[in-house]
Amino acid sequence: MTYETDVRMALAVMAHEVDVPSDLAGRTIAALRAIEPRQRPTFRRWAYVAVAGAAAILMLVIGTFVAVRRPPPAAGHSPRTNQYSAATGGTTNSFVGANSDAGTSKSGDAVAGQVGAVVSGGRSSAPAAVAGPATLAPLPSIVRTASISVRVKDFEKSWKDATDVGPNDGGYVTNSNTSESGGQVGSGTMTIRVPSDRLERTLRDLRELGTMTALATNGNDVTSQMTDLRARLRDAQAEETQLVNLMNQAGSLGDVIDIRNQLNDTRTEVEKLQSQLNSYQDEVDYSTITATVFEKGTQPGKPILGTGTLGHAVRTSAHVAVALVAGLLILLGGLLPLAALVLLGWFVVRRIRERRP
Amino acid sequence: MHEDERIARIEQWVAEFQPVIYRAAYLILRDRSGAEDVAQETFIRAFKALDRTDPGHGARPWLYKIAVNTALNELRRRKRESSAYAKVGEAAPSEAIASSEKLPDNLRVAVICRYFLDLSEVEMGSVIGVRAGTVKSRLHLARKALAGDLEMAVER
Repeated sequence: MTYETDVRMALAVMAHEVDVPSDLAGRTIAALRAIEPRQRPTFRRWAYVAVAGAAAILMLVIGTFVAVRRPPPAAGHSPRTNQYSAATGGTTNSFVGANSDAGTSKSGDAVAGQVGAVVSGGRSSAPAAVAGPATLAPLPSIVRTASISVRVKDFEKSWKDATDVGPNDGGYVTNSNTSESGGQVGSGTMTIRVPSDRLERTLRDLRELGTMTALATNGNDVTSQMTDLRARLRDAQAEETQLVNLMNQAGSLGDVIDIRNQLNDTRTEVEKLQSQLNSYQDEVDYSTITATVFEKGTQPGKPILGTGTLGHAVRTSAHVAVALVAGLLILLGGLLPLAALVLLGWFVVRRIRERRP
Repeated sequence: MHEDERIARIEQWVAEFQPVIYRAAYLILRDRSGAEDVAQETFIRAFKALDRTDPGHGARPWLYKIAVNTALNELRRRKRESSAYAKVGEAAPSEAIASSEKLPDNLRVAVICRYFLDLSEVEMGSVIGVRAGTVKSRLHLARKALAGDLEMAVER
């Protein structure tokens, strides 16, 4: 007799030494019937998983759509343009991003309207062509900046045209840089200063170089700062006049020296305030545009690191790294729907297995 | 599944499996009252679970799993509440049961599942919640501990 047989026999013996109560089944069924009918859940676990999966896929599709539609970043967020608004108080912003492929002219008109609105609210020196609310007096002093990105077919030709846009509109180019892509210069960024009343026109000229991909305009209200500077300048100039009069009336050499020292300080203060006021006035009179021009397939705004072997190596490494990260992100994005489907499939298989013997 | 359909299915299972479950629970708990509770509770739980799952043709291991888990929970509860309860419980009806009581609970449950409920090692793993290797190990240990005593009990 084997061990297993011994054990089975022994357990069978044990089992038959205890009698099953005859009414146990009846009591069990009665207990079951006494249970309140359970409210059937309207939303089961698989439904939650299905809804979550569908939501994930939907979000992914929307996210991909938004990412694809997003234009390349405008160069207007560089520190160079920020310096004009660093000392300002009230700020008004407007941003318009437009995709290039569909309805360019339409979006461009909308942009022009936005810019026009900013311009018209600004300078009192604006020409009549720029419609502005005549009842708003005194008009505020606003420092306006803008950044625009334009995609072009022929970078070299368009870049040359872009450098002419500012001077043609009464402005000037303060700086510019270009960057290479694939051994060729494919993008460049320049800073243009134009009279504020020509801002709209200049932006329109730049837009016409190719396909506008982004536009951002910024208006900083510096009225209070300029008013304060003017008041302080008047006070300092009055003090300067008084000190000059006092020095003329001074009786002793010691008094003359003291007054002269004070006068020097006051004149320094006057010059400083005048300089600040002039700076503000210059910023109000001339708007700053950061224009990025790039050929299709290049990354705008990348400065040239150098022309030697080392610079080329650094550029290549940076491009490879960026491409690698971008590729990984694309791969992950592509795998997400698959992962959601696998998860759903796994759950369905699991449920099927649970139901089978 | 409709309410009436669930009750009909449970009634069928009660007729088919409740005696076995009652006896298995008795072997685990060594207490008729506890065995009755487990034998009822098993089908009440199965009835409620039928609302969200359907064991299909695998009702037997599924019900045994519920029963063993219910019995083990009861066993643990008793041990927590009072260690004296076991001492004043019913006397073992036979020497065979007395010999099996020497085994630790986990080995005893393994023996009952394998040789009384006739579950496979894979099913046992699912019922007890351990891997198949652990099931084999427990059965081996139980065999070593029981071999001599069972032979004597069967011969008598």
